[in-house]
Amino acid sequence: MLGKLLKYETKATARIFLPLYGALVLLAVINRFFMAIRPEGHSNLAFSMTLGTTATVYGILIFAIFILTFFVMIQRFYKNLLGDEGYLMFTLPVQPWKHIVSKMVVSALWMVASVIVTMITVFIMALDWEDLRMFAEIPRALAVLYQQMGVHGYLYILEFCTLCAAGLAMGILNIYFSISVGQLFNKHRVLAAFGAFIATDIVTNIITTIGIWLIGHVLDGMPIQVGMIGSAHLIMCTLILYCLFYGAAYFVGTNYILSRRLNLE
Amino acid sequence: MTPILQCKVLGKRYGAKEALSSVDLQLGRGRIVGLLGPNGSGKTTMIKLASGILTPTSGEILIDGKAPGIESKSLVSYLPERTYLADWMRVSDLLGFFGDFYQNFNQEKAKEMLERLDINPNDRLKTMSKGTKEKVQLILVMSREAGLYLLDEPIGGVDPAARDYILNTIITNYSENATVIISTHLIADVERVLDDVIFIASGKIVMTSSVDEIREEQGKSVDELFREVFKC
Repeated sequence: MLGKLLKYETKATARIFLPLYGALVLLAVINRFFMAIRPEGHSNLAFSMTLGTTATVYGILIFAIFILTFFVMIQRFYKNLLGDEGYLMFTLPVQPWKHIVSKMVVSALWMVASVIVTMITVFIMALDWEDLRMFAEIPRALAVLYQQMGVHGYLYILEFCTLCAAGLAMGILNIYFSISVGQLFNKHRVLAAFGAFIATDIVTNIITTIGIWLIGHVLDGMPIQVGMIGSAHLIMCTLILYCLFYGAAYFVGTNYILSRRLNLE
Repeated sequence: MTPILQCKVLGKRYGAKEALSSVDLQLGRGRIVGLLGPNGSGKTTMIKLASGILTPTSGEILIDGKAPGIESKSLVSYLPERTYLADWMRVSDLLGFFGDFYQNFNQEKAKEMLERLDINPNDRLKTMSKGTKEKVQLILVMSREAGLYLLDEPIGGVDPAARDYILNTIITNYSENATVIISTHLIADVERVLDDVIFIASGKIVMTSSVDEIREEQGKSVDELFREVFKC
């Protein structure tokens, strides 16, 4: 059932994002074309204005895509699960956690896709064929990394990617949890969701502060020697654990509300 | 045999407002039941509790002996009083959707009913009138071979001709072991299809009876009795 939910969630959101991505790529190609045929030397007002316009539209579109990625993440959860469409979604024979996971995974994928598409359009506008050789250099760069840092270099990359994924999941789940808390109220559910977001922020800060103090207290006086390489790993792993811990807490909380405290208006 | 629907001292409040209080009820299989009551009497709340999109404040509600969950949801076919379909979807997408998630969904039956009501499967819901959307929803819901149908105001928004078709659809499409609950205040229209009635007012069950009993013992139609019981 999770697979089917993912399929329909992708379908429901692709119709928003794919046309925008298409428009962005098209604008990048147009910009590239104008820049290529730009007459050198003397300035041509009409030409500058056209180029200026397409470049501005391109910029606005990138801005719009990122705002929309964020907005759609919230709207899909709020409208499709807790609005009228929730009457269908929550009468499907599907465990609530699958709804959360399908929404989260698809939102995260669109966020990543928006970043990748934006990068591609920048390449389209800025890169020459010569520059494309840069990509051929990647294996060599990795080899240099390995020479200098050994396996730690690769581990850092892996840790960084894990941290990004865990951080993204935590951020999305934080918002889902806040929206779910909002629906526990009979009135002013949106306002309550904002309140819940601020409240969870305060609570997590308090817990984190106490946690850091406790760990510091325990570690204090222990004869631990970690070098530069070790402390970098330690910091990365701590951050990953931080995201996983809070992400799991938000997930459990959201799942509890959606399965035990559901009250659709 | 376990009753298909059972309420034990079931209660639901919204803040200070009590929508249902101490409802005790048992419904057998193979019946068409009218859940009748004035506006705001708790009909919708009761149906939403049975479908699992509301959580009871007190007591419990059981479908086929189990609390609402995955198993009850594959057994219950629920028609809400509002449009719950995403309006960018085509009717054909919805057929696929229902077929994907409900094993007891009968595609052929749905296509047949759509054709009968002149609804093009390639139309998007966005382009349809409210009445047509309601027909699509009803077709989807009645095309499931479910054990319990919960129909909240199924004929509220459609014209009288469509009402007849819909009611006929309901009585011809449920199997012998299935129970249909129809909530409405348009009693005269549904009376002829009902086996049993539940009168509900201010969150309490006022009366449960079979339609035959009302006719034989009281010598009245359900509509007449309703007007008498709920006289303003």
